[in-house]
Amino acid sequence: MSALLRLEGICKHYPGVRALDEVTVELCSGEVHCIVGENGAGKSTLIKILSGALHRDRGEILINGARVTIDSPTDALRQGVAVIYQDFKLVPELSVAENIFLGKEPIQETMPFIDYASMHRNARAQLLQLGEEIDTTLAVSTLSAAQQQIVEIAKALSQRVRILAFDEPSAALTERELLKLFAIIRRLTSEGVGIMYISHRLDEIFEIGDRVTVIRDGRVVNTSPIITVNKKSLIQLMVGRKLEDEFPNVALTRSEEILRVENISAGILRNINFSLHRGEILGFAGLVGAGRTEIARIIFGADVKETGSIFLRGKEISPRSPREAIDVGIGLLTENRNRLGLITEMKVGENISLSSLNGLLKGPFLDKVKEVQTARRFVHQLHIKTPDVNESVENLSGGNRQKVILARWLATKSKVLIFDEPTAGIDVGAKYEIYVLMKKLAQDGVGVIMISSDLPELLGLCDRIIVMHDGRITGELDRDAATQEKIMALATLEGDVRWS
Amino acid sequence: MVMSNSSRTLSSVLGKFGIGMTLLVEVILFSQFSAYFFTAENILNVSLQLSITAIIAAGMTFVILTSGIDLSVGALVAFTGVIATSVLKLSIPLLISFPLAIVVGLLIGVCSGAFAGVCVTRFSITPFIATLALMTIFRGAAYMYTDGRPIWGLPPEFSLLASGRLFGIPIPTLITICVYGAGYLVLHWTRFGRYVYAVGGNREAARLAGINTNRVLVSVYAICGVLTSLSGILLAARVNSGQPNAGLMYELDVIAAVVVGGTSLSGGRGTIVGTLLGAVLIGVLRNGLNLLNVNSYVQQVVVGLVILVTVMMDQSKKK
Amino acid sequence: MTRPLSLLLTLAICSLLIPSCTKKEEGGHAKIIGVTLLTRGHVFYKDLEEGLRTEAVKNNYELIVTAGEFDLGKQIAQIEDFVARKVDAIIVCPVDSKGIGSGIRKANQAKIPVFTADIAAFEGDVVSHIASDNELGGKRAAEYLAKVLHGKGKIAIINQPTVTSVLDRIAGFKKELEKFPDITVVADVNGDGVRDRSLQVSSDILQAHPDLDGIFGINDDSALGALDAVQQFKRKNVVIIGYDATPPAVAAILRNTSLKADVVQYPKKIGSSTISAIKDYFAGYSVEKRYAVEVGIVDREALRKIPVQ
Repeated sequence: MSALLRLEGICKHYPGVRALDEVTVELCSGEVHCIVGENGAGKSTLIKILSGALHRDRGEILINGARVTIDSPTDALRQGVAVIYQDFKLVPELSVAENIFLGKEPIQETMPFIDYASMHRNARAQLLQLGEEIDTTLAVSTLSAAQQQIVEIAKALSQRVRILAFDEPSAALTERELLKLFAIIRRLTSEGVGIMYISHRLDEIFEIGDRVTVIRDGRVVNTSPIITVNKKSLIQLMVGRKLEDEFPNVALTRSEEILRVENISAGILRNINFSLHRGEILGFAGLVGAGRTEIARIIFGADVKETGSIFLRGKEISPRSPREAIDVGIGLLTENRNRLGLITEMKVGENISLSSLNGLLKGPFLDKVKEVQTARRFVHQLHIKTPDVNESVENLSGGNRQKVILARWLATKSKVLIFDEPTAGIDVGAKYEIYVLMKKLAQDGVGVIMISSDLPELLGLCDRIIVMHDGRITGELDRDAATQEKIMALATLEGDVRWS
Repeated sequence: MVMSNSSRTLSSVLGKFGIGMTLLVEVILFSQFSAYFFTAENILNVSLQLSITAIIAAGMTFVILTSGIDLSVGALVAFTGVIATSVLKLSIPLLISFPLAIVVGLLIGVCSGAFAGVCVTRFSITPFIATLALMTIFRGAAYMYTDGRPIWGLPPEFSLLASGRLFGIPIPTLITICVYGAGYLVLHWTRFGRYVYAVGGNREAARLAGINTNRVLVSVYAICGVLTSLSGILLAARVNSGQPNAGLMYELDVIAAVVVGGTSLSGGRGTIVGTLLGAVLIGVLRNGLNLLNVNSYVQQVVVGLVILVTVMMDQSKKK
Repeated sequence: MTRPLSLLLTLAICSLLIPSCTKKEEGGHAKIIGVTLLTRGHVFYKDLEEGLRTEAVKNNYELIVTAGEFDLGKQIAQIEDFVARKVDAIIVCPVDSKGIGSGIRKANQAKIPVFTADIAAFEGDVVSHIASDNELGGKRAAEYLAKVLHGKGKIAIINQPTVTSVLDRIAGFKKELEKFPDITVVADVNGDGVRDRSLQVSSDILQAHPDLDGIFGINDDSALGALDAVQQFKRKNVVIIGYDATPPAVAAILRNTSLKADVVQYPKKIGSSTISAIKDYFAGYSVEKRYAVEVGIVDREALRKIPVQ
């Protein structure tokens, strides 16, 4: 295999942080090269430099042995380099075809107008090549996350890409969608495209990768063929220390009921009934769009229910706003922390205290000293990697951002905490820390609900798992009885078909 | 791709001081060319002149921090002015009519702002359109109410509000200082201020963090309204009459001051101290150009250029 | 709840409009004259309108008064409406001297006579233009200022250089000043013709020129703004001359402030003269192409003797 792409001696400094330090990585034609590392290790920075979105301080980019200039995303595309980001860069209001051909719309032969017929024809062909049939006239905003990703890939391929980089592609995908993505990746590599694959989920890397490079604190620690490493050794390389287990082994004792939901219907939700006890972690499994987030938002007062009741410690509540829910002791760590959680313009400390400012008042004014002290305590307790609580939260990596949100809810001293995809896009080390914290919360008597698309995580952590499909609860499994297969069967209802 | 070292240093130095630098350059240049510029009397004069827009700009900062905008301020200045002055014309003792005029004037501002806020929240009208509508409504109402004629013949005591001095400092200047002091406290030292930034940074995330975002939005427009009306009253006192054509295009001057002061139109970023500097920068510029007897056409071009350059330096800081 | 609300609002707005729509056009043979003013939001045009109305009533003409409100398109549409309802004559105070040409030509095609009042039109056939003699006004102001300053001193102009009639005033003012070489114009600033801006620029001028002797405000809002500044800086020795003699300015002159005199236009007279010209035209007499309505200058003494109309 010849080196298709070579990043040589890449350096990038942020004020006070050395994001990348003499990083050299090679990618061969037809290869899937995985990049792993903890949050803040520098993986995203590397990808952004490759795509021209960030300027490097030093270093060279060589394609087929020749030095190339990549100063902007346009330059990158011209060199055949495209990146599929975690949060897609599509225009939601435009149609699928318009997105695929954005900036290179075909023009009619006779008139200076866009040739929509050929645009849709080509877009359809492009998608079919990826084994996907999507109506190209639909607005992108109406598509599922998986479909949007495929549109992104089609968009990249429509400009004859030789090097395709994925930044956490599985974050928004279900297991089945992921398999489809792998099939696409294999087809691309067979055509000689070089794939750079960044992910936190090590299982994926062993399934799809050819080589793996571990980055830690901005440096390359190791590059080796995937067959020569195993999960454990990889984790050790990433965190630079020994990790015993993937999940903390803490026994929980379930006590009295704290939350009960009766016959809730709203939107797609139909007759939802369940109860949550103090000292347990209750898992919610299901495909994207099964209604798990919707039920969480109703309990939290972010959306309105049509019928049904919610009881907190036996007393009926009907929160009409998140504020009301917080006041009675319910918290929700939303999915998509960047869009629905953080205020990126604000500092770390300010993000932490945002929901608990009522307790930080001195007369009419904020007690900033106490605020900073509290925030520092959480930064310390949760091992949030930040120079200071006055640092802008923008400069933090994904896992640390998630911990900031977590700190926000710890500060509210909620009695019921709902975690919606808390570990999406987070590295192994930070994941483990979040698991430990959730266990600790349950131990302290908090009722914890965890919504996740990561089945091993649900199985490893939850005492009970409720499975949803199409707005209904299709089953409830105890920890000991649950398996991935059973959950998938309930989540897709394929089991029903087989058993009936 | 790799910036040369010296140009990076230059841009970071410019960025760090941004508006302060522009202001300094301005002051030095004007002092060089006009002997009357750097005199105590002229400094007080400038402070008095810019107090009108500066007070509104303080309120506008709140609105823009929530990624909103208020275009109605200029018209509201005129409307408040004519209503407050017509209260003064009522045949009741000055002891009653004077405070009544101020209270009525300020109430107009609060109500107008709260109404704009309700349009933005409850009816989901974009701030630009909601306040654009209010702008033409108030301007029209001011003309309608006065029949196009100014309201004049006011008790001379009223003009003391603008021409009077306390400790040698013009009253509007003192009011400006108080407004900015209070604005700073509210924005940086209260829960409400924090919420303003949060709503501007990410409205949905703020709501999910338990902030009553609608209440915050209605409040910022009400604050902007009441400060605008305060300015309207002071301006009426300065010209000792209620002019239906007062405050023309003030909205642009005010927004310029806020933006030059480093507040982002997309919300969540900015400081009230920056706005004060922005208002001072533009006020001093206008004053200096007038002192130098620069042609009015040229003045417009110069003001535009200075706004551009200042914002550019501010942007280079963020990179 | 929004829909009935908006419906109600629409109805309310319609009901506001109805009275003006349903007004009966009676009078059989009475001549109908369509008027489109520059704006109705200004004292000057209020008075002009009053002059038109008083004289029209005397002659049993019916007036339809509208205003372009600084919107050329609106004003042209108003002329088109007049043409459509076949009025007997049209009076225009153009929003834009050049742009109004297309509107006037439409009236010309329909053979409806057009008269312009206060502001001239540069295109189209106009029977007669009736306006104050703005150059004369500027000259009067200069004469008065020279007299008070004994032909010597430094003066400033609060200008509004975007308006044609103002340019005429300034031309007349400066031409007259040439006779007094010891009077120098040290500043010429734009106050946008409104009181708050004029106050701002006047303050700056007073700062820049501690030895200023006189100020000429191109209209009364400019002059009153200058007066506000002069009073704030207690510069008693500065003489201000205004233009238009609006009630607040007259009051200021009578109070013996620094505003010493005002050029007085006679907007009512412009209005009545316009109707007179139309009357002559209807009667078949020849009408002058341009009719300059005199302007005067009034100071405290003059005002005490004869109150301004």
